[in-house]
Amino acid sequence: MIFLFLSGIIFLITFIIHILLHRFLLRYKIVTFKSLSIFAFGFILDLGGVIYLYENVPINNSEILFTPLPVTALILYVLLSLNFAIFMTSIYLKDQSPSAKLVWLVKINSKAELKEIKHYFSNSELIFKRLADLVRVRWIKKEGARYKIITRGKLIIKFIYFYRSLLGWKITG
Amino acid sequence: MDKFIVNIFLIDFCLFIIFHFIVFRFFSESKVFKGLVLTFILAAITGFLISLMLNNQWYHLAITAFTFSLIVAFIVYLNFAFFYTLAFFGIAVTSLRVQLLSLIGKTGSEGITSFQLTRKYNINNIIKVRLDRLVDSGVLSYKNGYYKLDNKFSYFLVHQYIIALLKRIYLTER
Repeated sequence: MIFLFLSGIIFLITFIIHILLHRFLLRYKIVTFKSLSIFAFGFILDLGGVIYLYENVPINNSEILFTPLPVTALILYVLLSLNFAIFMTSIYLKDQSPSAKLVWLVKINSKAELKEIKHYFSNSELIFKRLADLVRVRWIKKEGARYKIITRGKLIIKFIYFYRSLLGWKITG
Repeated sequence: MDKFIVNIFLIDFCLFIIFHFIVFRFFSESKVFKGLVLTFILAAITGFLISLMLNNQWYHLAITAFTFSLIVAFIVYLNFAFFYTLAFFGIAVTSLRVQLLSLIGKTGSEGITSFQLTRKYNINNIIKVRLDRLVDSGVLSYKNGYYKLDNKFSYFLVHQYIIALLKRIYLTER
């Protein structure tokens, strides 16, 4: 248990440092994914802490509190950090999952018709912003008024088609 | 005990990957959420049973230690499944960006304008596909022309709450 507490506490500390770092960068209008690399430092700290505990805490498998769980603790830290990073993509990309927004809209209105729901969405939000993102990450390029797929995008789509073929699905989105 | 816990969640997660390819051969794309829940539960139970067969350590564990091991393994497996679902499965299956990329890719070197793109793929079909998926998965119900939330608890609401909280903490929204 103590190993898991250590990972949990280090994750929380890293999360707080990340908030402070993000707010500091925001003053200079810098918003970057790279700030998430602070969690890599958190992992190094966690690794050090786990090694220290493993070498100094007497092994006692009958006492849950002191049972050594070094591998589980480290993997848990990594997973918490990765899952947190996924939530942060919504913050950094200023994106909102359309499905989550749909459920939210139905909830706050208690019930909703399709035409009411559509008023809350726009092509700008759903499509044009995402096209701009695809250009920025160089999956597509814009030549004049036309969007064309480029090498990186072709590789991504080949992988997606392969993955979906394993599921037995076509692309719908 | 660490080895026992690691065995359980790693086997569970490997089975989750394998099972989801099988389960979704029988579940249509509109029943994504039910398929994921079924996959998660099947993999958890099967993985647990396989771990018991492969490890004889658990015989020596006290009931509390055994229960503790299961709970910890379940939490780590849940995190694994959550990460895989959002980082890979969700992107490959439901992502708008992937659908746009696919539509653009089909035009080859000719390319496509945003006007032509929005004629094929726009608010109407994006929203309709998602609403159908949410209804087929039991998250929403559709009656007399109205959509209603079927369950008070929905992962999507939890997701929205977390995002709203993070936006406040990170000062992107006041």
